[in-house]
Amino acid sequence: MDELLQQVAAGLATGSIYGLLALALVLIYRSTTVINFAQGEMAMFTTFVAWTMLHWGTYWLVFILILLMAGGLGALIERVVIRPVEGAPTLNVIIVTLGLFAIFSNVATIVWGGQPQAFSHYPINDETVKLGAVVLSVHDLAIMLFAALIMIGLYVFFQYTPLGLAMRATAQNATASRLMGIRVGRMLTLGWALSASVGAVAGMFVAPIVLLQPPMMLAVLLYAFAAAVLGGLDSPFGAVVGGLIIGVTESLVGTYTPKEWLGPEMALTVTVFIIILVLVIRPTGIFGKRVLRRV
Amino acid sequence: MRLSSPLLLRILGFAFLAFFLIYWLPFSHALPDGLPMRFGTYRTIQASIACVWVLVALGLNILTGYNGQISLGHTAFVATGGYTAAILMADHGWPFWAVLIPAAVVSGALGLAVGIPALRLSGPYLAMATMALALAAPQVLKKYDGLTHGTQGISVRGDWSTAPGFIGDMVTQDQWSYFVALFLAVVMTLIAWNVIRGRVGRAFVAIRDSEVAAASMGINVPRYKTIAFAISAIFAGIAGAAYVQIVGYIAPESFNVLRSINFLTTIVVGGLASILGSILGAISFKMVDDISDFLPLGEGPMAEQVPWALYGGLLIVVVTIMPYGMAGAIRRFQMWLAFRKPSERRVALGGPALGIVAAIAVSELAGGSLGIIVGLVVALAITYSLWLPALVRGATRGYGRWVGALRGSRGPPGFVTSEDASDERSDAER
Amino acid sequence: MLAVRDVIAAYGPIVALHGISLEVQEGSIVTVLGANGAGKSSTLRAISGLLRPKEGAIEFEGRRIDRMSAEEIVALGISHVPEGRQLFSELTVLENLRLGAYSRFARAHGDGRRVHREDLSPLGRLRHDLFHAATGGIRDAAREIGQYRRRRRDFEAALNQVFEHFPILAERRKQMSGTLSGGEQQMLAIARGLMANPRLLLLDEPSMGLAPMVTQEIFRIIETINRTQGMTILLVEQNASLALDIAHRGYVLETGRIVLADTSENLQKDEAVRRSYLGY
Ligand SMILES: Nc1ncnc2c1ncn2[C@@H]1O[C@H](COP(=O)(O)OP(=O)(O)O)[C@@H](O)[C@H]1O
Ligand SMILES: [Mg+2]
Repeated sequence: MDELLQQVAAGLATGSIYGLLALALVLIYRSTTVINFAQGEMAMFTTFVAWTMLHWGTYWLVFILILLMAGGLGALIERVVIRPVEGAPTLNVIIVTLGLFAIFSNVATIVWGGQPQAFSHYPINDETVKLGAVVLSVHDLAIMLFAALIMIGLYVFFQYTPLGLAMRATAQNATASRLMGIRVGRMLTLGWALSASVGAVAGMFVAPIVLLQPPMMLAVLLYAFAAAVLGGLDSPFGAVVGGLIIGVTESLVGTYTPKEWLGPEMALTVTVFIIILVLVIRPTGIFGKRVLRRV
Repeated sequence: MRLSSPLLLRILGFAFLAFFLIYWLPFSHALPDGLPMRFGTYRTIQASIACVWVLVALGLNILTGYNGQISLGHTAFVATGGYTAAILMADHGWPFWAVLIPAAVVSGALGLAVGIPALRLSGPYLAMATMALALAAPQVLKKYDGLTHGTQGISVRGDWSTAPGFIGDMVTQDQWSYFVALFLAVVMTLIAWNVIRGRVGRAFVAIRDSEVAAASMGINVPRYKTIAFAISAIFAGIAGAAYVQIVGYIAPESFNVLRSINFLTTIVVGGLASILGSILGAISFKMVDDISDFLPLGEGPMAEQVPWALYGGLLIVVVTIMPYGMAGAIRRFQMWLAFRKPSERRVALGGPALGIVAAIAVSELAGGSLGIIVGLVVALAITYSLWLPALVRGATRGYGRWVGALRGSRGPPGFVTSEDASDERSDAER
Repeated sequence: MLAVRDVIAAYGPIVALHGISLEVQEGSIVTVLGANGAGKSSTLRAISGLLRPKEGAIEFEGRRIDRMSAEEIVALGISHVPEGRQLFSELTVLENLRLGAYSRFARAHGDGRRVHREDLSPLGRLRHDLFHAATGGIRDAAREIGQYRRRRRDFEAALNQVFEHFPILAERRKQMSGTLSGGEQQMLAIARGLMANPRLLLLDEPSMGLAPMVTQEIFRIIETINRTQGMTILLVEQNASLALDIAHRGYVLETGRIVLADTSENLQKDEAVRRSYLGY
């Protein structure tokens, strides 16, 4: 029983990271119906920048600066490369994000090299905390805390501020939004900025776990994609829940399936097949809207 | 017969193509010593692998381009075909020609099995589900190592890869592999062409355009969608077998998710729903590997990363200014050409043709890279005067679009209206 | 108040308006009649900035608006209630109304200080745009916080006024707008347009798909809005008899051209109009 609780808690911690990046994906998806495949690499890139900046700044200062810079980067990307393919077939936009993926991952390797770096300036140390029968590292707790804070913050933003309302409106009906006087282009830019910032937080939390290196976000992105899809793609709440479900499933599959023919190495495989099963039953995810079939 | 006669041009074109593919690519490395690797057998292998990618791209384009079902999992099918071939050849001593059928069948069966749950999914949901397949493939291959030899992979180089009889005395193993791959690519292109032009192909397209409308025309939508998956997987399976035959080795990591994603990129850049697009996309994708040979980057990480970073930038530019891929751009060029005077048309087509001749001739005499440069210069010099206005217009149109978008308005005046109109329509549909 | 002069507009190669001219006097209801595809909606889109004219001029209160964006035009005081309502169907009634008021504060600020990017040099434009990209959202947010009280007061006032015209919406304020009945949706669309506190209201076929009783109710409210608030209204309709009943002037549009322009009384008497549009 204690073992089970421990595994669930560990799963929730990793799941929070997946959920954060999934949230970033959803922020872009719901206004543009595009999966941003560069999401993870953008986060990796900003984390590398953070790593460089940590040579002269304190962690939390750098953390804040990186969030802002990531936002700027997201806005810039939307303006410079995404806007020109607005209205093009969705696949083209996806290919543009793949192009960004290639640029970020390779430029990062060129600039910082392919060697894994310890993200050692991290102030939240490796101490552990005992909560009942469960032992969690401070880092894991911080991840969950930040995921929760970001969720709540975004919820308040979207639900209770005019700007958030305008962004939701833009995602639903761009033309009507323009008639309301909403600068639709600016909302899309803002969506990318927000998304990049949320992704950057994920990056900052992944780096201490897996060592900072160019491919570090790849697996996380794939899980995040799965989480976003599981959650229904246009629901930020669903994305985070999807992330948690995947984190826990992965943790449990790794621990409780027979080692001979499944076990930890197959955790990913089993998890994604569970997701496929869920999708076959609910083709637009757990929290996704039912789409009507159009002629 | 006049020179501008389309038939003659076509014959000439095919002759050039045949000469290039059958002689120049595999044999022209019999050149002075001291040339870098890229002009030796290395280039032959590169060309062979390009043929494999052509096979995959054809299959994927049937599924995604013609039938509208996205797949990010095609490496799983390629790996299935490849492993089937490798196991049969290495562990059971089958000859290459005999393993093609089982490779196609096993991969096709997997395609069927994936196609059925895929019926329920579309768009990003289908993309996720198929990507899961690509993710799972290496793990499965590593885990069940009794059959697959696990992480160490399977090595299959052997006698069977030597050409039979007297041909074996004339060509090396790599050259023979190349001819096998080329043969497969040509045959499968013809098959793809037939599938697309036939009843099945029309059903695929009808389903892509509207499932409801297709069903009301009496098309069995689930059946054809599953068939599309199976056909696509068969192409990938054969590609996998060909890959094993060329490289002589297969391992779980030979095909990872990124490859899968790159396959999709290939067909979008080449042109969705276009056979020519599949071929062009696959070849140009392969060329990225080779860019590093032509850039003065030396060895090491720079030589690895810079081409791919450039590739990323190129991808963005290409899909932005060529929304329908290279095949779409060629179609537009043909349209443009159709409105030219015959004499102009002759020059426009003759320039590149002479350029190819010059390139081949010079590289035979003086080496590859010089030949390519001379060929380019000749082609450009001849066509320069005629193409220039069109090139400038094309370039500025793309630029105008770009600038318009940068301005924050939704494109420059004149552009706005139709785009906004289509926006509005899609909003109304929501 | 509004003058449209020789406007030509097209959707790509399809020309929808072949040189339209019309005028709307302050305080009046002007109706534009025409069959399906005549170009009525396109005329409104051209005015509200959704469809950019290829040629011609549109002036609102003496100011050229034909080169402005839709966002700028609504801030100037022109509200477009589009064909088919175009509600935010997954948002509540109240949220739709909030969005209707979105343009007000853009007007309350910016106007005097606003830099017109068309006036800048190309380099200046690039800087302007990039600057906007980076700071636009932040500035909007900051502005909102700064003007919170006033905004809220204005909003409440506008809301009360709108609820006076459409009491049913007050009852439904928490309801998802997609679940309203057709008539209620149309009312919400008009109410949302009014929330911007416009000086000119563009209405595109408010009777579309509604039962005759509901249509009459809506037309009665439109007339009331015009009478009590002095709201200027440009009303596009296929239901000519109802439209001419409440309008002061009317234009008849055929395949992108104005073929008739007169007072409502004269149009109601006109033989051709009677036969083609009034059906008696
Ligand atoms: N989004 C669009 N794309 C292309 N053509 C359009 C579009 N909208 C309208 N049109 C064309 O413009 C003309 C006028 O349409 P519209 O203004 O909607 O007419 P009305 O509102 O009077 O029915 C019609 O011929 C119509 O086909
Ligand atoms: Mg209309």
